[in-house]
Amino acid sequence: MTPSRERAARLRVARPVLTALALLVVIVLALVTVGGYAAYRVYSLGNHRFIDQTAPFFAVTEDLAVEMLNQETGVRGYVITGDPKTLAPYRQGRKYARVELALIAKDRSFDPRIPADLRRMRQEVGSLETYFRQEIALVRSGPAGKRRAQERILLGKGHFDHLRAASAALIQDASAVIKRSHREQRSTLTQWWVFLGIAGGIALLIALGLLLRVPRRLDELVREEQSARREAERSADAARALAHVREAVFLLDADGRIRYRNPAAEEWFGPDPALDELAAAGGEPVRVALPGGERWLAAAQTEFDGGTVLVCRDVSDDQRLERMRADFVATAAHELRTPLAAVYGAVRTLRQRHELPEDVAARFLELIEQESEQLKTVMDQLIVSAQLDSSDLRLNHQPVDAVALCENLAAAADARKPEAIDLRVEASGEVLVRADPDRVRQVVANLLDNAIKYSPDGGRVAVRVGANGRSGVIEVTDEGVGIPAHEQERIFQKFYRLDPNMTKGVGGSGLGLYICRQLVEQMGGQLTVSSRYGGGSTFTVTLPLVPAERPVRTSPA
Amino acid sequence: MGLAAPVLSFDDDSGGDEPVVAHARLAPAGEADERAREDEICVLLVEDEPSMQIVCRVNLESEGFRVVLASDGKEALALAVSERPDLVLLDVMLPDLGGFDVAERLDAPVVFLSARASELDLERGRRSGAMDYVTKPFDPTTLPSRLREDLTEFFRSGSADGVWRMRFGPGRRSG
Repeated sequence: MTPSRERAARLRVARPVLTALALLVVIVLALVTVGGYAAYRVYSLGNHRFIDQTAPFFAVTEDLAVEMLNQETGVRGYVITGDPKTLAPYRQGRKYARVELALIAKDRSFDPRIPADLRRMRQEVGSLETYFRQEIALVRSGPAGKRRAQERILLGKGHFDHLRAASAALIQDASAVIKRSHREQRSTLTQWWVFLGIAGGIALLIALGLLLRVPRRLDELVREEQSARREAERSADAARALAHVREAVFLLDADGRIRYRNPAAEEWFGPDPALDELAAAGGEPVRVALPGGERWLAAAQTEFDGGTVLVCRDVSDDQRLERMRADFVATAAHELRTPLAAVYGAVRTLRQRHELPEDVAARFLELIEQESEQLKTVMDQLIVSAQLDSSDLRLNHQPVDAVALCENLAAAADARKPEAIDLRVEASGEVLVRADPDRVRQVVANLLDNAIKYSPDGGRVAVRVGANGRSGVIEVTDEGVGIPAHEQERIFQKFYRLDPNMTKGVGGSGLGLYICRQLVEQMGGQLTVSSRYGGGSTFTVTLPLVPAERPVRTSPA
Repeated sequence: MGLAAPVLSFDDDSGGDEPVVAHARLAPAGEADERAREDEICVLLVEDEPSMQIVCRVNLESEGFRVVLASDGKEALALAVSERPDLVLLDVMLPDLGGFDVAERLDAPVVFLSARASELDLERGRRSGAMDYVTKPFDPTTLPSRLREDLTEFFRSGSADGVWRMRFGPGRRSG
């Protein structure tokens, strides 16, 4: 994943968390607000209720005073006039005073002084009522009583003073209670608010802390996960790479135990690899017996802190090639030494043995000539082969009369061939090919020599020249030993010999057919073989025809 | 092998142009009178290259050897039986059987002739029981004396490996 996409992924993970945390903060704030408001409401409510509870005190004491005054008015009037009708306010007052008293009868006060005050008030009220009744009774008792009542009128004032004092005390106490209650309620409210504030503050701090930490931690986690994923991808890539290399890779720990092997290693070595010899070889090819067969392996060892990596390459092909090259060198040496030995031997003999008969001496000279030619041939082959390899060969393309060429070669071969071979050339019409004449000659001569060489029991060797479509065709057929099916492609390989150990010396450098095919292909043609082991062979050379005005002949029957 | 210890004397240090005459009686016990007629050493030359055939034959015959020619392994084995040569000069590269295989089947002491001169080839030659190994190219004019020396040592030491050790040193394995 690219860095920008990784960042986007992290944001994607962080956003809901941030949102949740923001929401949490909002909720906390809301709760705090609501809590604060609720507390205030409770306080107000409590306040009101309290006021409701204590308000009557004030009203009642007022009204009570009024009703007592009314009673006093009535009584005074009765005392003065003696008229019972003036007692109406007294009766009314007494009735309402009772009502008022009833109103504050339920003592819902919160303070021990209030009931005391109430009791005192009631006492005073009771005293006043007793006074009133006494006055009334005095007035009713007669004129002496009336006069007595008039004398006692001022007593009422004293009672009133007491009553007022009691009321004032009650009101004062009630006020004090109210005030104190206010204070308490307010302090409770304040406490609540403080508590809410602190709680809210803590909650907010926590929320803010989370807000700050959680995304970062999440970011870390996501980063870790992403980097772990990247690691895993890299490991997967590494594993995939190792799965596809064609070398066997081993990871060994410091004690030499195998900690990892790639699929190629498992495939080659099986369950129980023996790596000591390979590791000790220092990169040199070692022949190793593997479950799938023997192979040549070369191991590169790299040591690091904690272990070793062993990379084993299959160099069997290289070894084979090396073996082939070594064989070739040996073969080339042999092919050069043999004619040279003859030349040297002949020369030494001629120089040392003066008594040699003339015909023997002549034969020796001939021998020197022939073997020198053979030396030249082998040298040429080696050089051509090297040129073919480095693409240095230059060909002269010309129209070549294939029929004449083959007939000439056959005539030359005829002189050298064994009696048992019946050599003939068959051609149907003129065949002109576009090729290098020397090279064509070289190729056909080589095929002809092979045909003769590989027909030890004699037989027919036929050279057929014809045309097939746009190509000229030269076929060299023999009735000799033939080539086994599995060798038929290999004979064209470099250094290939039918008898690699050359203990059955057929001779040759192993280059002949390789060179022939290379030459033919470089001239734009093909060299193929058809053969049966024990049933002879046919080598077929096709080369491009020189475009003719006349229609092309069909291939020979 | 059935050959008795011979008496072999010849002129040392031929070096020059004079033909060297070998007086040798390599007569097997019981056939001494038959062989006594022939003072010459009989060499079976097994070589398929005509040029080498001629070169070797001319040089050996002019030194008093009798040369019998074979061009392949089968012929060699047949002639070894019928001619009973004193020594076989054997080319390793033969058309049919391999030279080493032929050597192992021969009674007479064998000297190899070959262009292959690697250590492996020499070792193989030694294991086939040969007493000498001549690598091509070589000077065929010195071949007769070399063969005589080989035969002398062969009868003195009693084994082909004795000759080999004389020529090539002790080597890795004893014979």
